[in-house]
Amino acid sequence: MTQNSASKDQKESGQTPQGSRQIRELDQANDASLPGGRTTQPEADAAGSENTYVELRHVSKSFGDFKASDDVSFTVEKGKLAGLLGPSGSGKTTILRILAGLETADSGDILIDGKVVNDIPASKRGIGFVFQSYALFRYMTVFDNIAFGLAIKKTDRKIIAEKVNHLIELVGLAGLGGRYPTQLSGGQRQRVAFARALATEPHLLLLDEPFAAIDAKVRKELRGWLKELIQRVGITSIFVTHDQDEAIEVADQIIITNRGHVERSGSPLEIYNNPQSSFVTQFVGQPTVIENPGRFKGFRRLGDKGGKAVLRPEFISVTKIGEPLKYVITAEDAVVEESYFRGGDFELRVRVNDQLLTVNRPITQEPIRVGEQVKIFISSLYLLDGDKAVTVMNESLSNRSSIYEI
Amino acid sequence: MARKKTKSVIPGFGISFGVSVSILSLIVIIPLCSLVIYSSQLTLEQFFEIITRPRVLASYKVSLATSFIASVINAVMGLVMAWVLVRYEFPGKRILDGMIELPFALPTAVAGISLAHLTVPNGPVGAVFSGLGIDIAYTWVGITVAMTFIGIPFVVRSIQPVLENVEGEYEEAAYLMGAGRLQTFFRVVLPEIRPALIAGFTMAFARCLGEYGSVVFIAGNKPYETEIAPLMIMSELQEFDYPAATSVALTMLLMAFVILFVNAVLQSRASAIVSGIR
Amino acid sequence: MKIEDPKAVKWTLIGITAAFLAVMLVLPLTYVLFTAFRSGLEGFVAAVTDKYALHAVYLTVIVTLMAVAVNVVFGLYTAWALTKFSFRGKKLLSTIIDLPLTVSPIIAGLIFVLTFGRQSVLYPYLSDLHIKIIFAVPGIVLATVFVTFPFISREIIPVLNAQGKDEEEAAALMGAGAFRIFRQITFPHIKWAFMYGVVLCTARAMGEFGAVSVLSGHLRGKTNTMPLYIEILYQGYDFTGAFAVSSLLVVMAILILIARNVLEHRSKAQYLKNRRKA
Repeated sequence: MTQNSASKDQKESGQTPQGSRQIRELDQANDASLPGGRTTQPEADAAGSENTYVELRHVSKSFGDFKASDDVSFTVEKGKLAGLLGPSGSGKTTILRILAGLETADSGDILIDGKVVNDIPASKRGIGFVFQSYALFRYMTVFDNIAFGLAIKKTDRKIIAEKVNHLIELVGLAGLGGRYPTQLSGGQRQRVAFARALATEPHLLLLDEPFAAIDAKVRKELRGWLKELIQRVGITSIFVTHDQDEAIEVADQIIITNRGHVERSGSPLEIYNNPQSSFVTQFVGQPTVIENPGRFKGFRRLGDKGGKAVLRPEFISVTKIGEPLKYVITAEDAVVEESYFRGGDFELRVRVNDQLLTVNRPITQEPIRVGEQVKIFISSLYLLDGDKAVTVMNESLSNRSSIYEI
Repeated sequence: MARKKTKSVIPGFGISFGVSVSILSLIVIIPLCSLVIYSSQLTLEQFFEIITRPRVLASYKVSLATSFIASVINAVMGLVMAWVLVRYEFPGKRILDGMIELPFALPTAVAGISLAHLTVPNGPVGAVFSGLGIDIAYTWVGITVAMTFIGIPFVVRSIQPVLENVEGEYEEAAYLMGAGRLQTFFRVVLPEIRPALIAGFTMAFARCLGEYGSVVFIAGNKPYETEIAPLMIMSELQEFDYPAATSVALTMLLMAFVILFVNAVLQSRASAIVSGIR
Repeated sequence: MKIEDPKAVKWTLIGITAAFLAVMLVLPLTYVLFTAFRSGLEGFVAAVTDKYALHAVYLTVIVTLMAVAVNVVFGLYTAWALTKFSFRGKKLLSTIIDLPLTVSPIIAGLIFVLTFGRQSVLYPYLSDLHIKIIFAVPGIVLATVFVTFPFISREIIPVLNAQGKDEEEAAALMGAGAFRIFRQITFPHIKWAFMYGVVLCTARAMGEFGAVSVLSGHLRGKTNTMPLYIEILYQGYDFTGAFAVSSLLVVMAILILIARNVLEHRSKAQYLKNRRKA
């Protein structure tokens, strides 16, 4: 069933795209992932969508010899919550800081609400910023922290009190306005940082690793809270994270960065099912890289010429000997080497063709022991081809025995 | 007995505790106690009579006023110097940084005669100022100059490490919310370094109050005018007037402790905010 | 981005710092050297090779060595006791150690006069034994130890606290004795901080004026350390002599300052290394 939904989605997005929005997003994704294709005028592209709120055009930034941002272009729509996802050092925080005006780009344009803001100082860009460490002022109470931006603007005291108290309530900290930041828990501090960023009524909210400083248990709860609150406030937001689960769960749109450039941009589902680039394929999901995929049954047409491919657990189904098997010819013999209980299912490591693959088996099915002989069926894989990745279906599933791209 | 209390597997508590307490007793505790014992031989009336003598009162006034002014100068200049040494890169920075401790390293008497000789009316610096009608040597100004000299390292060295640890993100956050440089400094950075500034100020103040070597040469030591409290004690000692010397010394110690106590209260308030204890 | 101050602000502040340090520190220092050689090299040589001058140098060296020795013993034992064990009164002990920093050097001198002087209860016993403490070398040493008291322990304690006591506990469990643990495990950690403390202690010991001045009785050629000898020369209007002897102390101060900067750098690195580990 996993393989069914995967292939269905490919057909949907790759061959019969529905709706103009999807086309735009896909175009842009292609732009970012294919260096050659980037000349297809992002300006025209942006003009085509009236919903674009934030846009980066060919932004580059170097620190000495280090290229922190290398020709970065992407757009974020109004009211959306976008996640900049990438490994550490991939340049995602630099992008956020350039957007905020905390760094100046060496070249390229930054547009907010259709206006080039390159020369507009950070404080006039109408943004709220939540720092990774929150940067709450230690010697100010929660109230004074939130009120800071308003007090700077010489807002009337009564209005400040009204607004701040409203924000304190909004983020669920009623009654804690008189506390100092150090008297709060990590989660509460994040809420203060969030309220402080919203106090000046920005149109764009930027969050740098908003959940990094919070322990795992509270993090999950805060993610849901933040997503819900951003939707309620209706503010366009961009956050930085290195945690793909976080990005997939929270964001409407994910922008994947690698070594200073944007690898891929799109909805979480699109990116997950259709990674397109070699990097993204090996970054999202739970990838296992295998050598020489042509050795596997059902993929013989790839030949014995070596190469690499990426498998995910959901591409593989495992059956005990004796259980009914649909595609007998293309099933492989495998031995279970390791087994881990993961709550809802068992994660098994099975050896096939001298390669160790990871596969999940629900606990509702008959258990499989370590050392047991099993049959596995690989429905599809991502064949890595230079910078790109293409989906290859198992021969048994594909009516055309050829490789097709998405 | 001591061993039972420590519950440590590390050996050597007995000897290390013993050695440190005996040296401490000989050098610090017994001599300080003898001050208390000796002063207990004085009656309260005697004590008050001595410490309210006009000449003694005048010396407190001189000491407190000049120490305070010198410490304020050091607080302001210390802040500027710490800021320069932490925030800016410029040629010669390491030399400036290394120079700050000179008042610790240079014997106070040397500093004293040098400052005095420079600022007497016919000295190289004094000549310039007396042309403007300002006398430095043998006035309050001179005392303040000498005290400023010895107080330099306290504020700088107290603020420097704290300023180094003030996160850039604080200033960025303030900047993004529209605060200007001065607003950011006074509202965000200054509160962070204020405890260190107060601590440095207090240490400088306490040190200046007790300072003798660098001040006596430049002070001129005119009774009622440029006589500092430590000099008062000195001259009473030279007249073998031990009751008077002891009384003045006790008052000075009291002042020093009050200053340090105020500092301790302020510091504990600041650290309560930072550590989250109410 | 590091939010940077405008260039004008930056260079103005650097200018103020440089000017302040030049006037307050560099000027007095160079003036000493300048005046020392004003009446030619012969005058300088004559002044520093004077019999009394040489004796003052000799006494300063002796007093400094003794003060440093006492403080080394005290500093190491105390730091060991305070950081490797927990016991009742630990906080009190560390407070008392810092006490001499806040006491005026004149009062430091006074308390020894009161303890060992003619009016003291100890005096009859001491004079029976023909032990002379005040207005003699032992008094000078005691006063110098007092004013330099916390210098070494204060430098070592933070480093040892950062290091923790796991290593010592491990060694003790393997059966090592206290001295062995200290020599092989603890000392390597505190080497630079310890030397830094010794340098500070040396600087203060050789330059101490106020406390020593109270206790010396100013016997020319007998109980004059260099700072006291300088005072005598200066008050006798022998400025060349005073500045010539001072210049020796200035050179020492510069050497100490250089040593201080090198050692501070090393001990800071060591401290950070320990803290990262802890």
